[in-house]
Amino acid sequence: MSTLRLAKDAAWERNAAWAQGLGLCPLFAVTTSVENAAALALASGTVLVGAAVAVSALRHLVPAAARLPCFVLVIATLTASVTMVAEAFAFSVYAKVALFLQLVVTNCMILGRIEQFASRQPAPLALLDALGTAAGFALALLALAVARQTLGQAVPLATLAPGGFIVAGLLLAAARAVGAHR
Amino acid sequence: MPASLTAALRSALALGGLMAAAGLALALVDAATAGRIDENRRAARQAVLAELTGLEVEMAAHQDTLACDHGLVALAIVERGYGGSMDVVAAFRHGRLIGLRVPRHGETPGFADILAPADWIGGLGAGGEAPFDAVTGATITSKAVLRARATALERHRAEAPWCPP
Repeated sequence: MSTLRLAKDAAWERNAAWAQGLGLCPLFAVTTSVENAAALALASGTVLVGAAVAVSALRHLVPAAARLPCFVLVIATLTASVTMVAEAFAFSVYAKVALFLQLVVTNCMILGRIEQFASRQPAPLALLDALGTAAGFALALLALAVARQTLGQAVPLATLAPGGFIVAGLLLAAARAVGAHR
Repeated sequence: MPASLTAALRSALALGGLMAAAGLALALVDAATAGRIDENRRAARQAVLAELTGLEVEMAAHQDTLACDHGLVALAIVERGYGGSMDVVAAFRHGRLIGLRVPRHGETPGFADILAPADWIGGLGAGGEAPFDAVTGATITSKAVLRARATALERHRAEAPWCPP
């Protein structure tokens, strides 16, 4: 498998949000505005990439029996760090999405990629996979945010939680249709 | 040493080492950001206080009594909400609570709408008993604000007599 193919697959074919249905809680909660979605995409991506590289580098030192607490510890440390940096340097965005920044630690997309991929592969491959997965998650968040914010001007329902499910369903169908057409 | 004990020790060692590294990393990030975070929180309190009173009040750093003169008392209260701690600023003029604002919180967006000045919290001034127990759908968030309001009234009773007239 070529390395570029790896990142592209992670972003598109195995997209965490629309192919695997992971990380949906923040997906619906913060996509009411593009700014919030971009902030959460950046935060999740930073945690994912950092954790993937760290876990991959440490993979020979972590015994199989202790691997889950170790992975969660790495992810939690990165999440807490990202939260502190956001409160220090991007306070206005932090003020809007603070809860979901803290909840990045529970995003199963991140633990999933760490456990399935980064903990078994060398660091460069883990980095590529994490970058692809993060790009795919950002794509899903931003597409939904743009659609909801635009539709919301005409149909207020689109910015509410039920509207989020409806718009996400339509986008999901569109992504599947594009995939099937190929 | 039996193999199972060796394996357990290896796990403990890996987890312990990682914990030490994580603690060190968090301490470093905290040291690098704490100053700016304090500054941001203070600026946010200052902004809501100016909005509440129409005055640019000079605030002392790191104090929970923000103002205490000219018949104006402003108190900062930290209360526990649904998503961690929230800052609440309460302003009193001539002994009466004129309003509450929440400059920083970690509540769920949507549920936190009741914290916008135009919503429920805007009607919480004017001393006396709160006219309700909680806001349905945002119970934890609204109860935290009401607890902060009770703390503010209590602290005002205790501290206001010491303010210069």
